[in-house]
Amino acid sequence: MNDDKPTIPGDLDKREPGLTPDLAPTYREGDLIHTAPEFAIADADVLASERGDVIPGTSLWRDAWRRLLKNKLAVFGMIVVSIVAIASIFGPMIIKKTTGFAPDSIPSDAKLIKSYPPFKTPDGSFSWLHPMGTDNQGRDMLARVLQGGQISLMVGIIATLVSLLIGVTYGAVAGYLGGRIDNLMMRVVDILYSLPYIILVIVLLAMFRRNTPMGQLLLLFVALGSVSWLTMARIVRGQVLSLKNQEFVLAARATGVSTPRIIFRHIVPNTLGPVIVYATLTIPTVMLTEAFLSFLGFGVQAPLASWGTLATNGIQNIGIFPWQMVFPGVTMALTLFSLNFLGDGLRDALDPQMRKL
Amino acid sequence: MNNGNLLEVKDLRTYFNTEDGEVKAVDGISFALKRGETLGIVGESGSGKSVTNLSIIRLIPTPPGRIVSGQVLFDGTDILALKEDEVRRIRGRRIAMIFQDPMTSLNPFMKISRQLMEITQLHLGHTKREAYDHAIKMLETVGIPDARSRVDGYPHEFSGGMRQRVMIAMALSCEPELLIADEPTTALDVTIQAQILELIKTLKRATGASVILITHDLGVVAGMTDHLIVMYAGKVFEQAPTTELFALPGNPYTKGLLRSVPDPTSEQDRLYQIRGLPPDVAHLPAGCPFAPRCDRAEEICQREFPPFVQLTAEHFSLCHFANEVYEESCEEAGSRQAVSSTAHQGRP
Amino acid sequence: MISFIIRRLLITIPTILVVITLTWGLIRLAPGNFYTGEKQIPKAIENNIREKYGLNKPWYVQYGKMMGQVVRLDFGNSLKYEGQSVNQIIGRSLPVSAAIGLSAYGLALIVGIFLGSVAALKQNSKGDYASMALAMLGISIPNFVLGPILVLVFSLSLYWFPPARWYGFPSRGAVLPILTLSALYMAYIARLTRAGMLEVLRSDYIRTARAKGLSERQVVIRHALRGGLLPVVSFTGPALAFLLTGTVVVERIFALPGLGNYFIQASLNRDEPLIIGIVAFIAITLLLMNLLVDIAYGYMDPRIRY
Repeated sequence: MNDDKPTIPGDLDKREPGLTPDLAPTYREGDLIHTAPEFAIADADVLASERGDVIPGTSLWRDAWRRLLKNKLAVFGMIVVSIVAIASIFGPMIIKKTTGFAPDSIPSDAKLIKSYPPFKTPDGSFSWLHPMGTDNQGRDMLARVLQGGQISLMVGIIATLVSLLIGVTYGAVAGYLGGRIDNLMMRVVDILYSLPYIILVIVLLAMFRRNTPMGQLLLLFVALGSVSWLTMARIVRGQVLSLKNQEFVLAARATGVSTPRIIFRHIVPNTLGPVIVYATLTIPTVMLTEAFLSFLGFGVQAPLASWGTLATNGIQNIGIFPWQMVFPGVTMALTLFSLNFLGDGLRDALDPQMRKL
Repeated sequence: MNNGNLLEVKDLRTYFNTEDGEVKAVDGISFALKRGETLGIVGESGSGKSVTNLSIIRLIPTPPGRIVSGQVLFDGTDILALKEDEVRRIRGRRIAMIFQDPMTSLNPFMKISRQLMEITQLHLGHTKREAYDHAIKMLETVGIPDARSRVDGYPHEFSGGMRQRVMIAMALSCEPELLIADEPTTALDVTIQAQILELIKTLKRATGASVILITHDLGVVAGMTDHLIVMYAGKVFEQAPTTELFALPGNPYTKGLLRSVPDPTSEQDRLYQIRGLPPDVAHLPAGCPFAPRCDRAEEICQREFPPFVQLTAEHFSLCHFANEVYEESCEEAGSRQAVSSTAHQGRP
Repeated sequence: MISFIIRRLLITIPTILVVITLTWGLIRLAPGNFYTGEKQIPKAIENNIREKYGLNKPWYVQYGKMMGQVVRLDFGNSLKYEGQSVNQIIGRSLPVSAAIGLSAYGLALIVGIFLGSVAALKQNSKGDYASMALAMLGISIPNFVLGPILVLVFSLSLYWFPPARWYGFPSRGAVLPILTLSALYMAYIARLTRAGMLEVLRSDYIRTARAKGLSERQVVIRHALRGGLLPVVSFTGPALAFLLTGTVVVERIFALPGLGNYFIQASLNRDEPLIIGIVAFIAITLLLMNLLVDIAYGYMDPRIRY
């Protein structure tokens, strides 16, 4: 495939950790049609069932779930991510209901249009009203941070979905068709890989800046999604290569199922494990890139604000009003931290090769 | 100082912590090895034979593994009681190992010469020059053609058989008293297997080292060993001098193993296979661990752990029906003898 | 070996041309142009400008002229910084970025390999968890958040280092930018080293080394480190690309006159020659570095054949 790259003869190419053939699930006999994700069983379970002591209902997924729950850091990540997500979705609404502060409502009283610290009123006494303080225009930071969470998470998830769509399709088609087409398609990926894509993204965003917040958001999805599908394509292709000669695919082909149907109904669902792992790890990467672009002024536009924009706005006042940067910055770091741990945990849980003895 | 035993293993237990709970990989193994003798340890994969030998030189990865109890008396000193740096002085110097897969057991990033040199530099205090010459000498000893030019090659430039020869050269560099060969031929082609075994035999004779030969292949141990141990599920199932064990097995498992060795002179058209799969050591049945696969298992086998029965002076078997099995073997052997002697007589 | 390099260059050169064409295409396809700001300008003046910069010629003539410049590595004058050639600007700003970037990467290598090896050797210990949590933190904190926090602590509270501006290299002023930039790579390298070392430490040849009677220290340094560090070597290629985005941020936070800062300014100003010049420069550097990394990889792993 890569005759321009150094190869290790007869050995694992350690430079492509995504392509672990052992991840390919093994199948029960007669398990030919795969619509539900209850499909695969690990080697140990095959042996167990042949020995007669079947562990009831043990599927790859239940096994993985059990392993995931044993991983304290991953559970921590899962809990934090859930809390942040729920707070971001419902928080701004609840704050509006209880205190009347909307993320973008500037107080009508001119005396209140200034930045005051967490748990303080403008005159310096203690108050629960603004647990994260306010920004320069007297807007409640908590409400802004939570709404920023909505934007950041949305950008992360949607851009990841875009990359999933492109990457899975591309990788599955290349892997299934194989031969020359595969060679060509993967060569394109190799070349794209070596491009300094972030430079191109900056040029793209600088040149095509939209004047509407929604337009800019769309542009971001496209820009971020279209640069993060490459690894996904490689992973899926590797999976498909190892899956396509298995009996259930041969059976489907023999019974005259069309090629697109084989790819997307029979093969793609079976690459789900690594795809989920990689998608989970893509979300924080995308969010980080979005924050980076926001920092440069190419991100989401006002009145929308992501964590990246909020933190960037806070940087100017870091010496006087540190909370303006610290709260959005730290919330974002904590979320990314948790997402990364969750992704790592999922990888350990779904990749039996990496299992600790 | 001792009874002529170079190595005595007493009630060795090595357990592993896994997700499925504690696995008793080696569970109460005892045996002895005299100077200059060869001991074969036979068993299916997962029977604990490799773990036994890694335990002897304390190379069990800890965690997850740990040696729970036992003694390994090497020339009178208990290796398990030694300090780490004292064990290191024994490893490679007095006890050397050859591993199963020569493809992965040599460092792929290091020249053969350096891998051979570092062992004599470490243990024999060789200078670079001496170690280098010694490395070439060792490669010549194990029959690597053109050793002088190949010594500076990397492992991937050698074939599997040649790499195993390099491993043997490395192991024998310091003339160890005990050589442990862990499935030394499993990963090799059949023709190469014979060459490697012959090499081990020759070198053993030349250096007078004792050898422990671990294998799952009874054919390998037949002509090589003085004593045999058959392991199953972390336990010794049968223990006897090699000729005795082959002629008069006292354990159903051993009998099964022997029947599954292909015999070119026999006319049976189907190879015998012990039914079922090797046991899941994490979930052993209550009684005899072999009972689920045993043709002659009775109710007691499911219920009670079998006794370790002494059949003759050096012959032991772990089975409720050890004596019966042994007697059957004697009868069969008797009749076989009778058959072959009649056949012999039949010839004019 | 030589043929490998030639083959790689045969791929590399078209890749660079693709990058430049894409950049040029993006600039030209975007609505608007560099000379129209907020206000309208008279038609006559506009025509003059178009005449002067050759914008009235057909697109392929303009493209050919641009490519000619790229091939000669002479990108002409900047549109915004009048009287300065693109090469002058790059020559002035590159040393700043290179000093910061390379020091940061060097620091990351030292600290990352150390942390990763220690974590691998003491797998599942408290130290392992602590260094891996730290590494995860390094990956999760955006550098534009880390930078200001460092400034807040070390400049505005402790007064140890200046908060911004370029004071030459080496200088106290370079400390915080280097730290900010290197955090991410430290974290990545620590994780890669740990994973690589764990895999190697489980391998058969390490068992062989232990069976020889080598001390754990000798086993690690002589036998494990080389194989364990291979992932770090192959990470160097992508790392240089990341380094680029990192320097952009760090140069903005600390107001350093580096390549990244000029690139952002040029993009905002639609300063076409400067954009093309910097993009070409970056693409060439990156791809050459990738080639170097592959060659280095071959030296470290004797099994590689080209």
